[in-house]
Amino acid sequence: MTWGATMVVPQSFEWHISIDKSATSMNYGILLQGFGGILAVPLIEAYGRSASPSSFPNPLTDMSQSPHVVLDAGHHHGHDHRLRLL
Amino acid sequence: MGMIIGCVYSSSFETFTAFRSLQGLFGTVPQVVGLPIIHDMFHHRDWPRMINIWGTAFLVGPFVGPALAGYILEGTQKWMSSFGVLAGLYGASTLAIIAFGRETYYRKGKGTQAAPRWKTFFGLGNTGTLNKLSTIGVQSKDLVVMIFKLPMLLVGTFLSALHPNPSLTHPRHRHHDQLHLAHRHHRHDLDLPALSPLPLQQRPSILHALGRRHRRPLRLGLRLLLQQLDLQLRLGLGPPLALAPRVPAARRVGADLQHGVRPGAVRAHAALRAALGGHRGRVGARQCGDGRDDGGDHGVRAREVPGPRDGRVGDHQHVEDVRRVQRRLLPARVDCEGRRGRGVWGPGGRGVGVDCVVCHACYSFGETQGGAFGCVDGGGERGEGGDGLDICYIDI
Repeated sequence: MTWGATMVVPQSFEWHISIDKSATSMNYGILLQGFGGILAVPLIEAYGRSASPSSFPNPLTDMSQSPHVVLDAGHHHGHDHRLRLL
Repeated sequence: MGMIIGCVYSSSFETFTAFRSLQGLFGTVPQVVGLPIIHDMFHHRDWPRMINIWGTAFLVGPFVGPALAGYILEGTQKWMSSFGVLAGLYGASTLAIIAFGRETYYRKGKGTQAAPRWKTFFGLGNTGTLNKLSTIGVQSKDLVVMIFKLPMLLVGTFLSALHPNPSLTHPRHRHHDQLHLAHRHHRHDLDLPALSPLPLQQRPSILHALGRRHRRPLRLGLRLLLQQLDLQLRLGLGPPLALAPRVPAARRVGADLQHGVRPGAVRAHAALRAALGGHRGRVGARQCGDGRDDGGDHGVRAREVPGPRDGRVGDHQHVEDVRRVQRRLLPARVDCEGRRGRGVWGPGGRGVGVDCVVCHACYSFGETQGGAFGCVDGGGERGEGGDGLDICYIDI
């Protein structure tokens, strides 16, 4: 999550917004980190460990790393001015 | 992965923020799962070491990550490539999990470790016959109860108070920085108004800059401190980082004895008595047949490792006495009718012997090396089976 912390400045140029506004992109993510962890604990206990960091989307836990990869890929292509679902 | 993954191209700041938030939500899961895996895989004696190795990644990550990302940005002049590299790292770790990972959850008699590997990645059969719904219920309840305990709430309050406010800098400084950065990034096309030169004294002082730079490590240090304090509070100011239970093990062992003992324990008890000769104190033994840590090279279960508890804490002479009794017991080698277990990580030990002698009076304990004291090492890290003695207690 902190990986992108230093990216807020170039992003502010990208989208023509102030650095302050750009920095807020991390707010909810950091907040949700806490909730995500709390939500994960019972699921990990009930459905096992390997379901969570698996590369597949888990229909039961829905807590996989793959959305993570997708999201980062989403960031990667953030300069494309359109929303596309493949 | 292709069947589900929609590749999302975020077009605007809002879209980016949305996905960043979701990254936060899902991103903690691989972090949370680490501790249970260590719990599953290693004996409690190894926990501190393993948790430290694992924890180092979390301590180092928040510092190395942004630095690396910054260098990548410097090199490519595009922030997207930083996220691309991060995505690549996640992808690599995911592939490594698919290639080498396996489920570690194990509970004896619950039919775990039986599901085919591909199923485990979907959460199917990992926990065997465990009741999923009630587990979720109980775990959630425990979490809520824990979160709303006073020490935990205090930590939360402190942390939110420490959270940095990004809009602390003076608007003129911000503007100046933005101009400066625009220049550095060769973005002359940006339509930023010209800036009147600021008086020197209005620039942030070195101290201020230092404070900002060190805010993160400071916060981290304070958080660790508070966590430690919280732990201490909850354990009744016990020894640092002690994970020992409040109920002394020997007392629980005594309770177990009252609830009927299997023949192996009776024989072991007699052998202990014989080995001790004219010892006048109470001697007890407990047969340990269950528990996931049985067999292998250890017999003491994590929740039953006693620690020094009362006034005799630190009484080295006394601890020495306990050790002496242990040494006297050594030749006794109480070998119970342990069967050789199936083992999850390897063949299990064949019967755990006396592993830990506890002084009943003060719960001083001397722990012997696994395998040396009656425990037949089956070579398995965590074998199933091993009916034998777990803990013996003696008045010394």
